Amino acid sequence: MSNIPQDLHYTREHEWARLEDDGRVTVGVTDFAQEQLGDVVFLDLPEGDEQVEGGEPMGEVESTKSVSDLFSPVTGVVVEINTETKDNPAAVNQDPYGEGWLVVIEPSDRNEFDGLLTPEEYEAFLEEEAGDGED
Amino acid sequence: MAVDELLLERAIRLAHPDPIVRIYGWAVPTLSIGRHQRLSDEVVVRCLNRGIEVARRPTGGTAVLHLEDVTYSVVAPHSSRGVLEAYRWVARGLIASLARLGLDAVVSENARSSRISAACFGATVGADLEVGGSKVCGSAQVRRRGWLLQHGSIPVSPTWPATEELLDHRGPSACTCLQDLRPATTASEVQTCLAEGFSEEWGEHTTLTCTREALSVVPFGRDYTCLTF
Repeated sequence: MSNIPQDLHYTREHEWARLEDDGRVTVGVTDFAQEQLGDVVFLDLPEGDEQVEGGEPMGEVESTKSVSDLFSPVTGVVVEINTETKDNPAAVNQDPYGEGWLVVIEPSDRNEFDGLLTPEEYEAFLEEEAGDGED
Repeated sequence: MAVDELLLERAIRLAHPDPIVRIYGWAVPTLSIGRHQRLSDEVVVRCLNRGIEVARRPTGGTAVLHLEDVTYSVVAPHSSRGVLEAYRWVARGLIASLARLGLDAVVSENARSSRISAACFGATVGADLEVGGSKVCGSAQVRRRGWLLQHGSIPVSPTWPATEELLDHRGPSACTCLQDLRPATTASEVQTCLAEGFSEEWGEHTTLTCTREALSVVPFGRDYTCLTF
């Protein structure tokens, strides 16, 4: 069973988002995502000051098995990038909700964050996907 | 492989619901490398000196030397399948294909590679197929907007010694090739078995293209393979 912290919000693309006290949103990939991807070997992250759109690709995560788009959970401007994780992508596998965070976004609309999945909704989504993916 | 990426983009644009399978070989020896993989200057010079083309795949993973191999690509909606589930789904077609050659292939149980190698056939992960414990097919995926493109290579004759030398790879490899398992196997025989195996698994709605000619070797230096080192 994947780890789904209760203090975060989630997307259907398996990213997590945390609303910080200053209104900014920290973003990473979920435990489920890192488990599916396998060993992450490369991160293509947006540049600082880059405008990103909610639900649109903002980069890529490459593992030994797959290249997957990295989606922005909210619309806004990227204000911080985790350069340590970019240099050491294994942090995404080792600590996806901690050291493995990816970017911080200054959202243009706080309400967009509230529209993301709650932990309960994300857990239900994972169960639904597991059912759909069975052949 | 540029054609494969175009097929992926087209399938996304048209919301094409059924799998598209391409099966092909290479007209000239080619080293295909993963989407973000970097090669040292020494390896690039070695390739150029030996007349080996270098092509960058849109898919992940590491380097594959295509000498006498059969390459496949699958474009399909991933339909909520996770990465590993999608690999297992495609593997059904591959296993059915290899069974037609009398080979009993299984999906590797290595969820994670014990080490990361610059060569695809230098390590085995859960995306790969094994026969008798040796890797016989290496695969890699890219996933975009609900669709996936998966590439894979099945060596017909031995490629590992040349790969090892080209990439200056050190360390053991547990890979094999079809002629080691089934002497006198030919690439065209494998292509036919793949076409039949995928049709058997996925049925008549699958679009299949099968050729004995190279289709999409993009010369080194063109935009698509514009490598940065």
